[in-house]
Amino acid sequence: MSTSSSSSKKIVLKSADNETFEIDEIVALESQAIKNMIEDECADNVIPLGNIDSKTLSKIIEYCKKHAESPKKDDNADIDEKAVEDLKSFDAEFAKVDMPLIQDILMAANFLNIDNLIGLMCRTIADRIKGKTPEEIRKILNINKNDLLSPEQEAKAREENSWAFD
Amino acid sequence: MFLLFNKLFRKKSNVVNGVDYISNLPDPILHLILSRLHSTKEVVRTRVLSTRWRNLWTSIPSLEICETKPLSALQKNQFKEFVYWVLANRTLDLDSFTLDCGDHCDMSTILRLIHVAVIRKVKQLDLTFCLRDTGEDFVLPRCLLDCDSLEVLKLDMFMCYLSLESFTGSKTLKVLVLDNVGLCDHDSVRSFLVYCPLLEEFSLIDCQTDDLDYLHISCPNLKTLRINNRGLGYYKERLCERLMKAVIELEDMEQKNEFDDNFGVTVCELFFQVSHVEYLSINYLFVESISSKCECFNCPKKGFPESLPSLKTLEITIDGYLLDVLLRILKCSPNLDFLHLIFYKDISPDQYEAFVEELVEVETMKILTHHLKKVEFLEFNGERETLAIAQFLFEHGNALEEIVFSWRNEDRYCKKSRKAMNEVSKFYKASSVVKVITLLKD
Repeated sequence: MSTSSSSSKKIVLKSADNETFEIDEIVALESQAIKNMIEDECADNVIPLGNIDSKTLSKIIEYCKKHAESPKKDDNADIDEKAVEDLKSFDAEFAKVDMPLIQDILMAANFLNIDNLIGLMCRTIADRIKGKTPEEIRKILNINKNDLLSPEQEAKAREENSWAFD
Repeated sequence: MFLLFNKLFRKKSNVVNGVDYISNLPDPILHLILSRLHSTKEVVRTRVLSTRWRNLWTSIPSLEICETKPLSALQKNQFKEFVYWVLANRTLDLDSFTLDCGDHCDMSTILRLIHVAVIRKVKQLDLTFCLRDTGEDFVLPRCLLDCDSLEVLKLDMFMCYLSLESFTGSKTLKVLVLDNVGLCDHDSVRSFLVYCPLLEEFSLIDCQTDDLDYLHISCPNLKTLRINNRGLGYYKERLCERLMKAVIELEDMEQKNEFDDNFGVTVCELFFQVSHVEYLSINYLFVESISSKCECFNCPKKGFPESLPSLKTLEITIDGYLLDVLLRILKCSPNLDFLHLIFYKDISPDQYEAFVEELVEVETMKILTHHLKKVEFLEFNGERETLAIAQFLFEHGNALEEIVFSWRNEDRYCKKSRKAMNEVSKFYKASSVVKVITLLKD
């Protein structure tokens, strides 16, 4: 069971490329998946994350560290506005990475169940495809070319929603 | 446990092999992305991205369609068809449907859309539309009466008159907001509200109510009444006795103030009617009206309420001239335990003196210093008198939790904020927990 006294406890995460990261347990608890594991006492000394490479994992740890350090909203209704601003600008900077990395982070955040980070990455992706044509979006998101609609299907969709495609 | 996960994801960097990872993510994640897009129009466009994306949009929980730019007749038709098609092609129930369609839709179209939204079990319906030159009242359809999902209804109708003769009440409605709506029949409004047993919040914003001789608001569960009406018209509200929370924000009443005798009566009566609430929030203009009307106007309720017996939380915006209203409310609020005081505009030296003088009276001073929890100085510019008031409150406010200095002018904020805060830090503070916040607003 995790208790408040365990805040100095360390957790070791191991990436797909066998790099290890030692972090404070409090930082690891930002991930609901790891939190559950610790609570169920099924976390060994080293948690292997065979589907997350070290580049992605170090980004995710950077994010969790910052968010673990910041005061939580529900702890105190009127926390320092400056801290909120600070976190906002951190998030904005954090999201300034290329699309492949964003997708990797989103995949990993989904796997590790880090709600805030999932939200941030989804917002970032939405911002980048806003106002773009379907062709542009396919390119940006690297949509599978084997999965495209047939020309007839696409023409029909465009016809049905001429309003949206004008 | 993890070995299993690891097998599921045969992960290599997608930069190298060009795999479409986005499309492999579960639907809820893709919905999150879609719901962050600009408009439903843009969301619907994603259906041609690939077969994976084709039907995703049909299950995002809320639809928001806004189209207010001028359209040709052909475009209007396409637009109407589009909205209908989007609503009708959903696979899941709707959390919310928001439509802002300018004058592109006629009455029958709006009714048809409400119908489909009801079939889709809509929970929140937010409609903004302008029916040009028909002169007819807008009759909310009967299907809403039997709709057992609707919880929030917001209507902005560009002053078109609303009729409630078919939609006579709702078993599920919790929030009703009427914005720019004309109301002409007080009986139907009254009985509608009575037949909304779960209604908790009712807001009237800039509504046309001149044709009402009164408005009787009485519903069993109403907790919040928000009246933000230009000058209130000529009606008098009658509120139910169980009302717990009242937020009154008056706007723009210069003309009314001067020429309208009824206005004074209305303000006094409204104030009287809310005198039994537990939570009261009143804005600057309402306090000003109380000050100018309740004191000197010969109104039937004798102006100021004798007592605010249940008042626990008071949020009030005043300036130097209205300090006496604050003191007067304090005197008759024996059960107050949270006072949020907002100072608007500067305070002159005379006003400061008068304020401190008034407070010499022990009882008032006690109420103020024991219950004052939060103070905000709006448009603060570092003035000496305002600081003096702050110092006074710091020195006497035993229960004080927070004082906010909210600056408006960025230049002055940069130049003066540090100095002012240095000064503040030297003040004696009666409360050991008080937080001082300085910030720049807009």
